[in-house]
Amino acid sequence: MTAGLSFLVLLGLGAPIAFAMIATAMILIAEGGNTALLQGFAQQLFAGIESYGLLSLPLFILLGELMGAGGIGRRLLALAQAMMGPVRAGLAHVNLLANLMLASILGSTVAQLTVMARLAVPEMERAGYPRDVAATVTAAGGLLAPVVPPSMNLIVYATIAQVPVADIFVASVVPGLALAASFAAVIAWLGWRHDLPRVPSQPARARLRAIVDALPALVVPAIAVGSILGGIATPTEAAAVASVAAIVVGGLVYHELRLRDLPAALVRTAATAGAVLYLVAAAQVLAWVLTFGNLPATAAAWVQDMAGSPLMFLILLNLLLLALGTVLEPIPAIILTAPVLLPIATDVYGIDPLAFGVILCANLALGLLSPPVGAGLFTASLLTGVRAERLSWLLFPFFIAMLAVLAGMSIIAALHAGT
Amino acid sequence: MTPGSALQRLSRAVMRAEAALGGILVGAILLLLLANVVSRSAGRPLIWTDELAVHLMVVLALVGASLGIAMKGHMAIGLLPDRLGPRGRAGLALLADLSMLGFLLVMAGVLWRWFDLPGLLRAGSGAALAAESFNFVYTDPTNTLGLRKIWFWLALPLTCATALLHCLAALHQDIGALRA
Amino acid sequence: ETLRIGMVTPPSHQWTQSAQHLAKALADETEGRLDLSVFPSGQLGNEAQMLQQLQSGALDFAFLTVGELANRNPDFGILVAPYLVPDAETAAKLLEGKTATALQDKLGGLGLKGLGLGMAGMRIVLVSDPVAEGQTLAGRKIRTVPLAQELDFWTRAGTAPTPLPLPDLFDAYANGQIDGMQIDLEGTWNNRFHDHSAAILDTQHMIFPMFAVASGRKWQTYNDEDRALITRLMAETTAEIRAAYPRIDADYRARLAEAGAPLEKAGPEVFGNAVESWYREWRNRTPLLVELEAERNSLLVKQ
Ligand code: NA
Ligand code: NA
Repeated sequence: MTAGLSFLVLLGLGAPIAFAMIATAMILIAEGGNTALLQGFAQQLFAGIESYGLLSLPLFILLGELMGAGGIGRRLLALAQAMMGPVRAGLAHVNLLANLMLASILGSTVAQLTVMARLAVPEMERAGYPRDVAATVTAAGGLLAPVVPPSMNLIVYATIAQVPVADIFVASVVPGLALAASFAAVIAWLGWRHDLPRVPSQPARARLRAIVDALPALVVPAIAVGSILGGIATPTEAAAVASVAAIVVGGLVYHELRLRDLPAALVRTAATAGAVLYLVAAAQVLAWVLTFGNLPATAAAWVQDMAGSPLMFLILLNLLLLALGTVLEPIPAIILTAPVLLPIATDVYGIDPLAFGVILCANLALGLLSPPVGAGLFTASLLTGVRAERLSWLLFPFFIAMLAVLAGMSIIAALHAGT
Repeated sequence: MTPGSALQRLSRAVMRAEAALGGILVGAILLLLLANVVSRSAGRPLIWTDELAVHLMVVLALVGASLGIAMKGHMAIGLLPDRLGPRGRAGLALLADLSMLGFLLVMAGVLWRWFDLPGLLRAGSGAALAAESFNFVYTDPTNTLGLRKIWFWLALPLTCATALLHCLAALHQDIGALRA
Repeated sequence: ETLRIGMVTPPSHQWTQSAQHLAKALADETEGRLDLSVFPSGQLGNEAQMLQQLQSGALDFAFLTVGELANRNPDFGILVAPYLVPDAETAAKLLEGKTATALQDKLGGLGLKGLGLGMAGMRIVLVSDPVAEGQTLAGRKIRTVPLAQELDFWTRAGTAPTPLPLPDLFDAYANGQIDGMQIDLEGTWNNRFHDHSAAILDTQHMIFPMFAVASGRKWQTYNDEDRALITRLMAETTAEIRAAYPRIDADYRARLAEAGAPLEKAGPEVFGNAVESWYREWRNRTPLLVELEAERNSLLVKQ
């Protein structure tokens, strides 16, 4: 109680959210009386982000910086424009399509968002989009990363639920495409509402020039994908390999990236990645204290008590996950909730563990963008200069679209339950 | 030169050093992962690169936390400040920075207890301290680096100290803004 | 009073199931006075983090694999000696023996109190390319955990031991970043790794031991009666786990065979001469290994 209140007061004062979360965790420990936790507190803060999966964060931020600075992003967007007719909000649709393609390679929202923010937002601004709308479309597109396979979230769930990774990837294809389609509808609506610009029609010669000019730029994403599928690199390592490709193409082919620009790109990456990583560490340490307080099991017991049918269970599940997602990051939230909720879903309500997992992971992915705390929200804000409050307000229609997809998935899962 | 402006200058100098260190850490992480790819392709995978890269990333986060205070780059909710005048904003900033100071002091206390310097001096060695009090801070190993964890954990007290410095500099600015 | 036990295994795993049985038994016998909360899937953190929580007294109990322990005291690593036992039944007996029990006394130096040993399935090898008659595993990239004794064994076998984080394992195997892995039959089936394997080498070359431990600090705070009760129930729990694995291994072997998975018998020859040279090295470095081997020999004579 004191802890929750202190959290709100600290946020209201405008104190950094990461510190507010860590302070709240400390107050929770003092309240709970398990003061042995304080002895390990600092070590836990360190250990919370001592994870290989998080390495993709600084590396993809770096890749985004290098693609932006080397003129690679601009040319890829020009290519997409050249291939697109004069549709309203055409660039926003291009952005979504690029996100869908990236999502089929990447599994992390923040990684995807950082690349796209550097690629697309400046170009959309130049084409006459308000910056906050451009940032919103880009941030929303990042939500596709963990829903469209491959996905870190789904892999972590599969490990907990002991279901084959390949099966859960297959189960998430249709929901992922439905999500992309619903986002396209939101973009069409935004285009009409904000009178977003059409892609200007170009003469054939200009189109051809854009295509030729973009060919070297295409090498960078091609190397990223190729190194993963070719068995050379993990997705995290692929960001490192692609960064080298971006330096070579931006420096030697386009002559836009000079050697003396590199230190600045590294420092900008460090500032962004450091702030986001520390926020993740703060969220982890708070989640750890909440787990010690047995919050996950208590919440699961509450859901089980309240629900009377598979559909009711799934509705309560979604509400609970949305609430958790406001402050928790997806992967820790999956580790906290899946082990206690999965047995209830399968044993009590006969819900398919794959359908349950896709709903759980998709819902918690939303937490990356939902206020007040979300690494995706903050990364987008840091990289585009649009305030997090403004972004989350503009993201609202996308949240609604995602909730509609979640509702559809839940209804289908409930109809198939028990069979 | 007043003590206040010396504080500001020191904070800025430390900030520049932290930014440079952050850039170096990102570069090192990049090189380590490239080394991973190259060595595995050559059929001689390096065992220690992942663990080192992960540890450097955690150090990066801690340096970034301190740097963020100096650069005012941390995420915060700005709803209330937006509704206030300049004086109100300055007052609120002072309160926020005071709460930050309180937090950092508590953190310093937690770290002081964990690193237990008096205990280390009394016991004579990290191993003796561990045997005596089950505090393994000076003896815990890494898995593949052949280094003890303490060399990375040291980033916690160091960045706590630099964060305190930046916080004091910010408080000095807040008070100046309130007086103006 | 609420007590806590942590483990890295998922809810459906035998270790977690047995911990749930323990929680029930503890609640029944104390009429609800001792309430044990089970935290599976590494909810409280990985094993290094749980170890620290045990040391500080934040966590009461844990099921720990041998990795973090052997990293702090190499004596614990003798339990992963290659071809130490022929099968899971013998493994279970050896883990009940005097050497393994004596090993538990060394936990005190880590701030822990040993309450019994458990195990998971016998280790086997999956490979994405077939192993021809007379061929060894040399030259392949094999995923292992970064445990000195294991890395050394795979290096002596001429392979390139490749540590990979668990979440990356599936993609890395499917995409060919690694050529094989050391795992058990249960993990093979649950992840459907057999779909990506040219051969499942049923080597059973290594035990996968587990230590049931209490926090040394917390242990001092329980009264004598509770200590006796916990000691007894934990001994029953680890016995249940040891007894379960021969059956679990056989069960998954049958399932894999029925699914047409490429199961093959393979002996120590697929590791070249790694087994002998490993023993030469580690008998020197951890003399306790010799005692363990002697105990194993007498077990086999009795059978
Ligand atoms: Na994806
Ligand atoms: Na959130």
